[in-house]
Amino acid sequence: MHQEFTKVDSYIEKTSKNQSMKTSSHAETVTNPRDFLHTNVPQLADLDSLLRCHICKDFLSASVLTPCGHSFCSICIRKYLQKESKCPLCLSELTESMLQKEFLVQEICSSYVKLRDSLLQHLTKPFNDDRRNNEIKMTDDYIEVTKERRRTPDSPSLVGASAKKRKHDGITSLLMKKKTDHRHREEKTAQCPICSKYLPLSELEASHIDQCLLSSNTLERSDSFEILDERTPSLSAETQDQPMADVDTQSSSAVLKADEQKGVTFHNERYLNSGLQQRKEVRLPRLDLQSLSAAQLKQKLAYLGIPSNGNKQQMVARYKHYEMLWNSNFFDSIDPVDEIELKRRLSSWELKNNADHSSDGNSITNLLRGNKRSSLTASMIKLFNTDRFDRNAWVKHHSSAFKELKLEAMASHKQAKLKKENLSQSSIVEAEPNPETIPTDTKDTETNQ
Amino acid sequence: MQSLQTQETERLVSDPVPGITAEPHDDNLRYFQVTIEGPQQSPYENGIFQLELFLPDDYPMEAPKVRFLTKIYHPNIDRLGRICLDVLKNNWSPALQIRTVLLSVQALLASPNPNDPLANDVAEEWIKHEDTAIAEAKQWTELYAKPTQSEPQPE
Repeated sequence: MHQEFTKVDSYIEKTSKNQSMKTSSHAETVTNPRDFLHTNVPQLADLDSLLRCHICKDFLSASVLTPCGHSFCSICIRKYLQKESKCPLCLSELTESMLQKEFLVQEICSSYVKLRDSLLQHLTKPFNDDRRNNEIKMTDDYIEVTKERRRTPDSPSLVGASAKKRKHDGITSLLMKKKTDHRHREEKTAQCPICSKYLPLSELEASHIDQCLLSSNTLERSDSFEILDERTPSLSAETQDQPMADVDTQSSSAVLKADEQKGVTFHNERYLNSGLQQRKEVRLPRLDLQSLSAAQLKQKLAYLGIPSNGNKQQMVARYKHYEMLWNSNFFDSIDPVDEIELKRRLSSWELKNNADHSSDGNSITNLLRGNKRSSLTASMIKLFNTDRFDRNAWVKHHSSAFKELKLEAMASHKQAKLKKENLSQSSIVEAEPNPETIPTDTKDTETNQ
Repeated sequence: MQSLQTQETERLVSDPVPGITAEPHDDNLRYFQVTIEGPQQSPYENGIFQLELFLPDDYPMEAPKVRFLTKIYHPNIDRLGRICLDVLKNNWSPALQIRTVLLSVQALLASPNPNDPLANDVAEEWIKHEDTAIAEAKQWTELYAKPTQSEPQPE
């Protein structure tokens, strides 16, 4: 729900209520080509749009090419072609068998998606400095910034944008420091060396770095940022705006070096090596599903290892969806996931589409049990709906339970050991006149267990 | 889907089409309340028309459902507000969006097509006596689509 607000407020300055919502929902942000309109290079909005699927409006995922020259996400177009046999963009005839995978576009897209955040960050910077100059006459640190700023010419779009933002300047904006960690920096900010976010210096030093070090999954992000820092001369010039940040970055760069170098050519290498990879080229057969009997269908589904409950209609729908997932994954994607992941996606789809049927709900739980995830909670199941189930979140979410379990196991192990020792001890010191120790100890162990 | 809908909503709000507003309903984000201004130099000029738009579960594989709530005298819009428009039916494509659909509806107001009618009586009148039909449409606009009565202007 509150995703609705995540980005809207970056164009229309809304109430601070929305801004707090923005920070609260890190989970899934919605991007928009218009994000670039307020940067130094508004033309990037064009590129951003080009890399999107015209069906889902998100970045192309496992893109495929039609004979008429249009690209869509493999899943999106396959889903549509189950209904209609024409290209959504030009309405010319099109069937699933005419689709062609295109690894290059796939890699361009995923490479761009990784870079996007840091691009935005870098390109919006001068505009932030502008605001800082207008209101906060800072200490020595920022005299440099002011000079730098004067040299950079204002592009017309920026002037408009900053005028709009200016109403946020002043004391209130200083008070809202945390909300603006991504793009709006009002306080003395510096870049976190780990997650490369811009944060108020005080906060950064006090708590943020520690937090960052703890959460390992932010590392990936900083990769792309680092790359940009060093490889793009024009951009790294801008980083000098932030003397503090620079120091931090340099000190951390040694740590990140290995990851970074891998990251720079990752997509290129994967693209070049895609021919060498062994691919599972077994297309799921297009079955004449209606002519099959329910029993035959059941057999087919069971053979594939997917649930075979429900009526015939449900089974047909399930097979069709799985076929689509399978083909788009093993056929079209340069980076196919394994079957278990496909089954998870299938169950997430089914959960969404048959949420009303209790019997299906059971089958999903069963399916997931099969995948060794028996301790499902309702809240996490909901996440499946987005089809972007976050493994890290899952791990985090259950880390406390896991720790508890571990402690419990360790405790009981200890107890058992103690018990053993006591027993052996007792057998040795049986003659000693202290008969009470043994029974009480055993009792303790039992109650603890 | 979630993301798509969010994106579209966001764009509708942040980058509105002139003469068209669309706001998602608080309780149901698939349900939009839409207003369209009557195009200039059409019989619907100066009118503000209320519509409802609903995104079916299968959207964008399926076209959104659009219906006029304000009464309108138009050969392609019937008494119940249903619209005869190709992009809402056979010519729907998932590459289209809410905004393009609404633009098409606006265009339909600008150029009624009595040769592919939905409201037969209106279409007949339109073909036989275009002048009186247009006068009628103007009158209806005056009667039902007056901005003051039908809508408290946003902001």
